[in-house]
Amino acid sequence: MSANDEFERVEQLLRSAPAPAAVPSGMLDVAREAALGGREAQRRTVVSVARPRVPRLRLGRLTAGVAVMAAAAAAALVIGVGGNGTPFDAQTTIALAGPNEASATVDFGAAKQGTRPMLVKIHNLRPAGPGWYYEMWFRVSNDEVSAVTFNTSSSGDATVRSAISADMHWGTCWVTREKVGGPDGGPVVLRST
Amino acid sequence: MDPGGLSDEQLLEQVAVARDGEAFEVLYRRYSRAIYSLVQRVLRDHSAADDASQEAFAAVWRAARSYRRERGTASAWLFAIARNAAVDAARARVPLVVGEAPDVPDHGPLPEAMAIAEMEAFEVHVAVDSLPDREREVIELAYYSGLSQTEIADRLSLPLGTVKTRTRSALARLAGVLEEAGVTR
Repeated sequence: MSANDEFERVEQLLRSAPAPAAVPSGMLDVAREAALGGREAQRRTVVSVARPRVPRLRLGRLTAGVAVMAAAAAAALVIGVGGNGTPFDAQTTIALAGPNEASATVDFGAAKQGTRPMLVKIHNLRPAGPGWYYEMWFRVSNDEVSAVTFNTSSSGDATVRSAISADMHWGTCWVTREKVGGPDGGPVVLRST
Repeated sequence: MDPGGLSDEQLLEQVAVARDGEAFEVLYRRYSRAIYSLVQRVLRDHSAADDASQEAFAAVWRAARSYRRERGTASAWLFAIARNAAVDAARARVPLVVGEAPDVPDHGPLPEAMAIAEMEAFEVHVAVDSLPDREREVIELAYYSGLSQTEIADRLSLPLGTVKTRTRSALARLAGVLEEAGVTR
């Protein structure tokens, strides 16, 4: 094939290929989180461990219907609790951050009757989308414990109340976006700072 | 070693064996536009394309160990990963309703021809993104924006001769890259 033939073939390919789409800004962060997020989270040091094993609250493995109900319940809490809900006496707070200024705080209250109340406030995290939900995880020893599922409102905010086992000591915390009925291990959208 | 100097195949192996985040990011920079464009064409929806692209890159990280050089180029493997992510997303989005398909012949392109066209477009986008910036700029203005060489010269405030030189150099480079990818053989 001569140089001119080669050029003609290349020009033909350039003309037949549609113009590439502009990759949204921030996609690298999201892709990096999707691919590396779990690994980065696993590298972090666990602060303390009270028990070698903690019962897993595997909400992510429940059936699609239950997961939807959990997300709906969380959405109801978004409406029902809000920032002016029942006062919450926080003893410890951890912060989480993600791409595009998404953030969250998790307040832990005093342990009572074997459980410790938890108040999660999420900001600037876009709704998970139809068929998707968010799931918050804690790393406890070598175990990943699912703590709560939720979704956010159109403003990207949510406030969710939940509870963890009173004797659970966590190392890191992160939030993944999960598909209803899909396998666990979705991309990390928030993680503890 | 600077991962930017590695071939796509070497980068994939770095990701597979060393779980090298830097190698992954270099792959992302080389392929993000081609992958995003591919899933966008399949799904025709920006939001769905965001999700599918994200899933495609997560799959690259997860499945890098399954790549085998002897079976084909890294580019072809990445194309397959991205296309699968897009097709899975499309299937998840559209409920399959049996019995409502129209009973008329489809005069559109055959699936095989469409797959070849998708693959060619993907390789062209990857090849264009591999060009030096100044060559990529003239190619994009000429073939994606439809400007003449005189208009490109005006737009970039360059002599017409420089635009022609850069275009020819870019075409020669693209011919080499596309031949290596098996597109122009």
